[in-house]
Amino acid sequence: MAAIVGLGISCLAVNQLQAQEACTSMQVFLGIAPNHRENVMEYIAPKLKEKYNVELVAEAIGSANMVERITAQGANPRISIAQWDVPIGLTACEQGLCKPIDANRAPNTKNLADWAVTKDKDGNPNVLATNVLGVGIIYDEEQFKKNNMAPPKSWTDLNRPDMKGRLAITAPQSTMGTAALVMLAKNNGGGEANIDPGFDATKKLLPNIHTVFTWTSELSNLMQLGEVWAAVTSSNIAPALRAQGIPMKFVIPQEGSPTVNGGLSLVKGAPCEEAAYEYINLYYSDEFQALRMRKGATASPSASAWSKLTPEEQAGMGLTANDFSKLVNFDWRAINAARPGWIERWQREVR
Amino acid sequence: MADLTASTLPTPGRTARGLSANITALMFTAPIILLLIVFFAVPLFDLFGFSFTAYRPGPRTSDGPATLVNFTAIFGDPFYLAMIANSLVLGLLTVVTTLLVGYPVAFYLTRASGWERTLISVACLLPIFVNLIVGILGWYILLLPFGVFQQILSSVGLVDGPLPWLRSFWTLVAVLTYEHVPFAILILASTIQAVPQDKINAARILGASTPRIVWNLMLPLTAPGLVASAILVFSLSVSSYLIPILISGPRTQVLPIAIFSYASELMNWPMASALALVLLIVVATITYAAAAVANRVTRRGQWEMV
Repeated sequence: MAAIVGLGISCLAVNQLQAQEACTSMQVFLGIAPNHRENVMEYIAPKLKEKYNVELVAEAIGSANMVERITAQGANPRISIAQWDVPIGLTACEQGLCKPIDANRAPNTKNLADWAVTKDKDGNPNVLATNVLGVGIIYDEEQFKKNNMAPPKSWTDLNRPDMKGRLAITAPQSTMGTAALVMLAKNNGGGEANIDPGFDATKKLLPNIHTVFTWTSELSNLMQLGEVWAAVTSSNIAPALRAQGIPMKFVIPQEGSPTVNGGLSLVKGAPCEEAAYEYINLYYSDEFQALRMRKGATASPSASAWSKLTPEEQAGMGLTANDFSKLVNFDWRAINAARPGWIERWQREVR
Repeated sequence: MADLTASTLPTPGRTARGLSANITALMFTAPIILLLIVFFAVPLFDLFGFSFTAYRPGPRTSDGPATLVNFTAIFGDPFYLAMIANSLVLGLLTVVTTLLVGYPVAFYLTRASGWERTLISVACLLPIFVNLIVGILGWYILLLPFGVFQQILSSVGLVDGPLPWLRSFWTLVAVLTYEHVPFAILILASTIQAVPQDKINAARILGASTPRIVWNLMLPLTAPGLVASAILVFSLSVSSYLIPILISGPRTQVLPIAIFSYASELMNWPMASALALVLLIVVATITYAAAAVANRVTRRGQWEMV
């Protein structure tokens, strides 16, 4: 009998050991952004390896795709952290994919301002903003100068006849496109609840539109080829294109820029919780946030990180901490509920 | 009669040999059967289940109550009917242009020799080896609104302003043809090769004109190859996603784009499954019909060979 109990205990011990050993590698989904994966792998990965002997496996994919893949993994997801667009993370968390984030276990997250922390209905944080993005207009400074065109200043400038065939926008399949559509609706008397003016305004843009792009890589190609001179997209794209030698500049239109922030959530039921908290803590360290601003041009939501940047570096960003007040926050819960309908409508109406 | 009894009552020795032949056959085909079951039959069964459930947000399962909502949504909506028609017309037009382009080349290939033969064969095989995206990007860059073609034509004054060539239906047909013509040529060449030159010579001696030889001799005799390449090109074109999304984008609505959109942008797997099932049934029906027609035509070919 004792032997059997002993065997049982040793089995338990083995199981526990296996549970601890199970976390030799941690899988993370990263949002697609310039140099995002590179920065994570060079800064965070070695530290995790050193402290927990955990191999970091990071993959940069689209937010919707993350929801898809985590959902497909069912009750035992293998992805520990998902870095999705806040609006998408919000819905995913409401569908039960996330677990609350305990700020005490990742002290650096305490530097975040209130607006950067999304909470569930019980008041527990479930999505933390990782970067601040504004959706506005980027334009090719050289081409505009060469063709005597005035830089765009407002959303209505997109209708200017001199932009004919040179404008690219993105569809509501991307979060940027959704934000732009709502912004156009707001500018024309509508909003989250009344999207019709947004569709009408988009249809008026059609004569100017060169391409409705789905991936920013398509946009970069078209800008590199000199086909497209202006586009509606997020603030981090301009510095990234500049780094490739394309003279793009980001403009916050005078009516304001919608914000679409990148976010981070812990996936419910995933392994490697301890390493995941260490990852989050490292991600929000001032050093890493400053690195991301320098290499990825994504504005940090953490105020203390901005002080690490020189004034010149700050000016080179598409968006600085001083611009945060010009950003417009939308009701993403309402948008998310209506968004599938908009995507379908877009496919029918905007060609 | 005695023969029949003999064959219906097999001798023990025969059964044993038949059995071992069966086992051998099974051993040879087991890997592909296993692959098909795991990666084709099971997902297909899943797809079937999904297409009869209603969409619910949240973690997805295919065990909801069976319903026809997806299919009523598809068939009750002119948008989807137009999309299905678009896909079919696209597939048929691509088949027609592919055969028109491929047949003469295949014919020439079988009659050519030496370096000409090598050149044509390499020209046929090369596009297959080149990555699909690379091939499409060439078209993409040439056809852009401010691309090479339009620049040249507007500088001579033939066209005015940026035109949406890239996003047009006909460009899509052209690129699909370009991508699939090598397959057609390779299949056609092998059937054309099987037509003896004697028969063509005989027809010519008897006074048949070239069009008559093509129509009454070549086409019936090469019908199996024509049908096989038509089926292949049709199913490849109708189910192609990459070429439509890169070339025409959403301007030409076809089923694969809608399936992708529902599956990974709208997260509505039931609707995506239903559309995929519709695509599958349409392709299967047309393939079957083409095969049935082919059988009749082939018989006619045999009759003419007597």
